[in-house]
Amino acid sequence: MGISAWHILRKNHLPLFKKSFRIAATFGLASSLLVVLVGDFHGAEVGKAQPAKLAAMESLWETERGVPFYLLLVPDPTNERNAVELLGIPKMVSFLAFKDFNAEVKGLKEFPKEERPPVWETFLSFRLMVALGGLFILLSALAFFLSRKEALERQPLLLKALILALPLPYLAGELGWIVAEVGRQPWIVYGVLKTSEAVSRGVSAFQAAVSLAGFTLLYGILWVINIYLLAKYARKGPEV
Amino acid sequence: MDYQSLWFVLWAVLWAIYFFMDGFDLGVGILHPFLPRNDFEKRLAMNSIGPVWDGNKVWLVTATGVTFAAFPAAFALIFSALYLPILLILFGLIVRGAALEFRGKSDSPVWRRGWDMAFFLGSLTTAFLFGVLFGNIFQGLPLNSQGYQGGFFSLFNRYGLLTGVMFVAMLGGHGAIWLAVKTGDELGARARKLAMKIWAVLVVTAALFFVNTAFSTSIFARYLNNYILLLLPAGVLASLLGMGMSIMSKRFSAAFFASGAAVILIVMTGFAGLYPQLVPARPDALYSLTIYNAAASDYTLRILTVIAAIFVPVVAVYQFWVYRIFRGTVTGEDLRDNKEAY
Repeated sequence: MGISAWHILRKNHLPLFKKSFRIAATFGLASSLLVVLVGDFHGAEVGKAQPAKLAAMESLWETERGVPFYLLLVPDPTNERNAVELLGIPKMVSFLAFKDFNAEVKGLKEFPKEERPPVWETFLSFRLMVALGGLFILLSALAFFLSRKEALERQPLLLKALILALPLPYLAGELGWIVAEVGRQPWIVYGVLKTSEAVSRGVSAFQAAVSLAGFTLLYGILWVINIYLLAKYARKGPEV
Repeated sequence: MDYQSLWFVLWAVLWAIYFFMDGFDLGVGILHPFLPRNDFEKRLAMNSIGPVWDGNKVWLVTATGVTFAAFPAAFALIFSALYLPILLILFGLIVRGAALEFRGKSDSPVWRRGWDMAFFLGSLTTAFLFGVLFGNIFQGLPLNSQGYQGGFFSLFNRYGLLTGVMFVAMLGGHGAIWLAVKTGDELGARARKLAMKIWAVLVVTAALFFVNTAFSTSIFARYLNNYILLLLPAGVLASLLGMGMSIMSKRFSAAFFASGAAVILIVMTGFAGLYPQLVPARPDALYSLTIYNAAASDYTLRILTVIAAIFVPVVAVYQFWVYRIFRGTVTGEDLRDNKEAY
């Protein structure tokens, strides 16, 4: 959608790119809605299999029944509470995780301190990811309805927003990974083996640092090249 | 035969198949700065392996996967002890894969020269370090109760270096013959000439390898307990001779299979001499990893046997199919007509 939007703004091959925009908007809307379902399955699974992760995602300290979802929440991990809890949707967390408004959700205090994941990282990544998911539904719904009306080229604001939104799905994916991987700490095999116990004895910290630096450098270079090529081919448009 | 021995054989065979399959496309990379002289020829060389090189890597995944699944303790030891060289091999494979895919995406000469260099260095590093790695395993690693006692640089000992150099010659020769079969005109003609020279280098390095194997490893000691294994080094000799004769008589398809047989048999000669060890320990063989103390449970091995019996033939068949579809030589018209060409 973003690339079609870029070409429509420049009035390149309008019929072609309006058509590709419509297709992209349809798929974009369908998939951003379906992602909600997948996310829901996933959240329910996390609630069952990795309760400490769920508690960190929601920054929930006490084990409670009928846990509300606070739209505005600021965790305060040092004092094991939340500094701000505002605009709660009653019983929403219980419902989302267990499909029961009165279900009990385990809080972080249920787990020994050394078995809790980092709260800020997990909580913020999760919130941002969900917010982005909401934005995708909004943008693709707007795009879907406006593209039916054949007036796309008179919507420069939406088109520009869609171009700017190009990197956001990647960002949302990365944030999801952070939730999954940070949220399961300190376990590498949940409840069985801690990450600190799974470190290779035969690999020194120096070697690990070298490999991390090497991967960062190599993938950084490949990333830049990849973006350059993607931009080049996206700009080029269709071959005549 | 017990499951451990069966999986030892499969382990060795899969690694040998990997070097046979990926060997020639690594070889094409090693020859990249020397054999194709201009952009058109470089594209011909790269496109000759274009449809198959990444499929060949499936055998690396399989061989590594078997090491992990059948002999997890050996996997853990090798991948920890040899962490840096394996990391460099991985970087080499990444860089040459990117080079193949990216080189044709821009016309800038600087861009293309850069990826040419990446393709060469990635292929060379991979071939050489695999040789160094397996040389050190054939020779035995310095292991005690605390694990690996060597370092990164101690891997580049005489036998390790020699095996590395032999691998470069072996895969380079395999690649030259591939180009001799798959390309025509001037590039093909030059590949045919070069194949003979690399063959001579390969014979010399292989001879040095075997002499050193006799003196610095206990590989041949095992052959004395089981004379039938002597067929492997005899096969190496026969395939090297066959390779030389086929090159001389300009029968390059035959030369390709002779060269492939040499690759497989040289690797198998080393592996066969390890049995029943996977990673011999020096100086005290007590700390060696054997197929018994490093194997997964019998149950795992049984499941693996079923999986391998189903999927290895499937992979072999679809790869055979790809090679059949892309049989024949690569020409200028192929590059012009195909937008997907490198």
